[in-house]
Amino acid sequence: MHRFLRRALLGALSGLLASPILSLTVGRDTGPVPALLLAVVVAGALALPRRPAGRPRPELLMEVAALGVPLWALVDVVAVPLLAGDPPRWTAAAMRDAFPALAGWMLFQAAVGLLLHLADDLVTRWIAPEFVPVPPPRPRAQRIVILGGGFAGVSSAEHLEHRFGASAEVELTLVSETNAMLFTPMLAEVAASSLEAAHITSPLRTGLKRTEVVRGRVVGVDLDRKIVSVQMAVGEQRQLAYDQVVFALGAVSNYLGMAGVERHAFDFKSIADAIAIRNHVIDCFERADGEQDPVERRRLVTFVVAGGGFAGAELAGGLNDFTRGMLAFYPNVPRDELQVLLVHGGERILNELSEPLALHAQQRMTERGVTFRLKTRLKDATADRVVLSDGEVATRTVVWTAGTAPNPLLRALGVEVDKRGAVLTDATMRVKGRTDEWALGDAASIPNAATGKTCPPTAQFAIREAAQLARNLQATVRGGALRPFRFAPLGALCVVGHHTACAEIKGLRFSGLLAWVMWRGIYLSKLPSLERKVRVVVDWTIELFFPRDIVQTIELAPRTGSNR
Amino acid sequence: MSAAPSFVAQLGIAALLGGLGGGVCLALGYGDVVSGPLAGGGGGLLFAWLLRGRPIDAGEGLIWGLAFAFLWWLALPAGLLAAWSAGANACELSTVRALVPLLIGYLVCVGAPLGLGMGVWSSWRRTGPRDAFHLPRALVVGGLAGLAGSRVFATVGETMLSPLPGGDTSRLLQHLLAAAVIGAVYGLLFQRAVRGLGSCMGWGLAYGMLWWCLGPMTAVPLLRGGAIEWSVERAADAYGLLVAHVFFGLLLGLLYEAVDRVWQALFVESDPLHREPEGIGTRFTLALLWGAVAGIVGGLVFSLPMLDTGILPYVASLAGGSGEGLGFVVHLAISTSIGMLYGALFARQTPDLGIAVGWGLLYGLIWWYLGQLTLFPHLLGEPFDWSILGASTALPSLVGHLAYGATTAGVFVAFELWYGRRRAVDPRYRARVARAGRRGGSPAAALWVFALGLGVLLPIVLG
Repeated sequence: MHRFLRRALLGALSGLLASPILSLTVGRDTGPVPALLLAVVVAGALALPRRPAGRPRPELLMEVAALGVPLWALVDVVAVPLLAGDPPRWTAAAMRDAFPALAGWMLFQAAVGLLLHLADDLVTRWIAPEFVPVPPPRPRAQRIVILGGGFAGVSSAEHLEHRFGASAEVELTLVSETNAMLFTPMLAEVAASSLEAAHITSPLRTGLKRTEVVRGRVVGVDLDRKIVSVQMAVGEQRQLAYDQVVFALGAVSNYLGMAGVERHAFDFKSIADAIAIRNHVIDCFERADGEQDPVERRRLVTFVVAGGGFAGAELAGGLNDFTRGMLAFYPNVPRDELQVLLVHGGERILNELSEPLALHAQQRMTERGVTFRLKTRLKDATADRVVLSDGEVATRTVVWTAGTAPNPLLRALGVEVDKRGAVLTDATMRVKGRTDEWALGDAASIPNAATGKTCPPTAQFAIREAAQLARNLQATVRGGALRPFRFAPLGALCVVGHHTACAEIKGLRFSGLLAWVMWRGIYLSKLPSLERKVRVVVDWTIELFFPRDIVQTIELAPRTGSNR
Repeated sequence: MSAAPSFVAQLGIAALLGGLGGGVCLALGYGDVVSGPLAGGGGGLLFAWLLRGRPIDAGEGLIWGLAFAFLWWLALPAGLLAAWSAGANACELSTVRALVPLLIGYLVCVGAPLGLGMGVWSSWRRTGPRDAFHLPRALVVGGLAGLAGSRVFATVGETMLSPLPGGDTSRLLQHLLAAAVIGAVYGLLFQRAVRGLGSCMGWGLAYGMLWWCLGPMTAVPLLRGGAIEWSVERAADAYGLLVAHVFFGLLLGLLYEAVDRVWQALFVESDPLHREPEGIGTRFTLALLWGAVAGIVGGLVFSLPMLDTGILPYVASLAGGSGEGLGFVVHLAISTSIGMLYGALFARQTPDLGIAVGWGLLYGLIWWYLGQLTLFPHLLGEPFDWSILGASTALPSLVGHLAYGATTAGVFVAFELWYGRRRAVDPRYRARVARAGRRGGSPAAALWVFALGLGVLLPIVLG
């Protein structure tokens, strides 16, 4: 017998047995037959939600008895008078008239609680226990392994968690070299000492709910055996078997074969890079403050940024604000010796923006003190200078933002890659020629069904790709149809200094303070987790009242003999 | 000793305690042989059978005993026996009024001793693991809470045991001593049972009601040198003291929990090891938000009887106006605030709808005492009236308050269950829910029956 039918029948039987109580009390107003029907219906309904014997006997009795009070109010104070065409019995006198019904309901309910339990016990003992449907054996969970802890990888994991909920159909694993996701749009603010480093990174283990996080570096993928080899942060390699794998390995800096630049330039990809740049800049000022030789002092406070894309322009703008603000605390460093130089091979910076807006940004940055060397390429770097295509600049600081390439591991997979080294996929983000391998983000070359062009390697696209990828993975696991990735870019935002930014959204151009407010508002909303948002807002608020922090706090050199 | 003889012994003790309690009632002149010793003994047997195999302590037993005694009185003397022997209709108001003295007798002489006795017996026989109990904490925290809570009696111009022998200072000292002892006993009885500010209020409410039966209705006449007087008239006269005891109990419960948390932080565990996936601020904010929405829904339900009884213009006068519209807005604002308070007090204490409705009904009853009988007239600049006449006048809103409490609790638990289902994918969240779950055998449902039953019955019957 179906369990709900069994419960309803037991409830109705208990109600029938206890109905004399209701007939003697409530029945004075309603008549015996309606009271009897009421008893059967109420007791039957009470029994439905759970097996009566699931609650201990006295608890069930008391819990059900307590419900007698609201039942009295509902039935005798409100429903019965309304059905008789009278107003509800709210008055004290009318409620006193209805008092026997109150006592009746409490006693009836107590009796039903007791009888229900007894009836369930007896039927279980003499006839059969309640039928509990045995769930069919589950098929083995599909193991989905996501490689990469950046925007693309973490967003994919979040969307998959949302889509599958608590379902046991899948097991999710994310492999990441760090235990937190870096919010790269705010990285320049860390290098410029405007934000605390940890505030723009979100711990993977608090953000993800059911995904197993494996901290380690992917060293190989056997596509035939479907095994990922991971070099763990500590200890041996670990082999992860998968049914579906997602390549979201991101990009690395590409020095275009310039060994001197690779050796002497700061990278600008990770939180450690931003911390290192900030500490180095402060160190340069400390040394310049005590330096008597004007040539060496100028060298120390000359900061070269190679690359005029978003990263380079934002970093140059941020460093310019930071270093000019520091001058107040270093009286021995002359203002005219400080230089922030942006070297860019193109005719203008910020190629992603329209020309008028990019030129406006360049003009604003120039007004704030940034020096530009356009149509110039960085050719080499040493410890105390950089060699440009049109001369040399004496400096002890150069930051490389001029080139990136997809993770070199992708070339070793044996799948088709484009000339950058990104994995070629079809429009559904499935790796070309494969069925269980997927790719997205900077590591993938994905045709955009909306434009017919290849998706650019930006966070904006990576986040949207992740949503579509999760949908397609769900369809794969559950046997649905795959859909192509389709996205029309919303625009671009770039901050070039404090209170100064430029934005191009759906063809509309903004610059100045409004664009800066938009930049902060939009990226704050994109920053993962409320906790991180609050921390960043606090940092920004502190910056309104106090100068930027110039404390060198991080020890970057690894300890000898430590187990890190 | 094997289980079977133990149960037989338990039955015997329960029957003896119940029978003796009924006998005391008979000796005091309340009830007869059937409704006294016989019903008491029978009740004891049924009580022991109901609680068979359930490990309880004295505090839990007391609550079970009080609720059982209330229902037993309603079923036997007020129901079956009245219909059988007197030929009256079962549970007629006049019959029940006449049996109010026996109700107090059942609570004081049958329910309380029976529950306490079975609780002590069960504790003595218990061998398995149990929650820790700290005697100094119970005495000190309970005593302090009792002292602080006793200030409520100043509002009715009486001490708890007044008039006592001696001068003013002596009476005050006796009053404070009694309050401290009552508080300490609360700690001794309920240290293991209470958890969370919301349920503490419930325990305090029931405890206050019990002390009304024990104090003004029983002990005070004896201390005055007179006889015990459980008459309807005396109960009606002492109704104001019942409300005072309810507030004393509520304060005692809240203060006990608050001071107990400080005690635990200082002496037991200042830094809990069980970390939560969300911060305390997030949980509290969510509870306030859900409580606000639940309070609005509860307020809308409550507004139906308010519209019907035409009380909304009076509510509007709280904001200096008189229109129904303004009254409705003020009412909803109050409902929202009280709903938020419910969220703060009862968050994560109600695992399903049935339990939530139970606590919600009690919360509604508490706000009837606090809001309708006390704050509402006070905010209108009128003296509040805790007498049975005042309670009788305020009876129409009692149903509204109960509906408000049940609805608010129901909506709130719906939010909690929805959130729980969403978070169920997180094993840390599942572990937290498992930790927070009230262990089996909680007398919470008995608490609702006793407090709700007495709270709703007395203003109707005594008025």
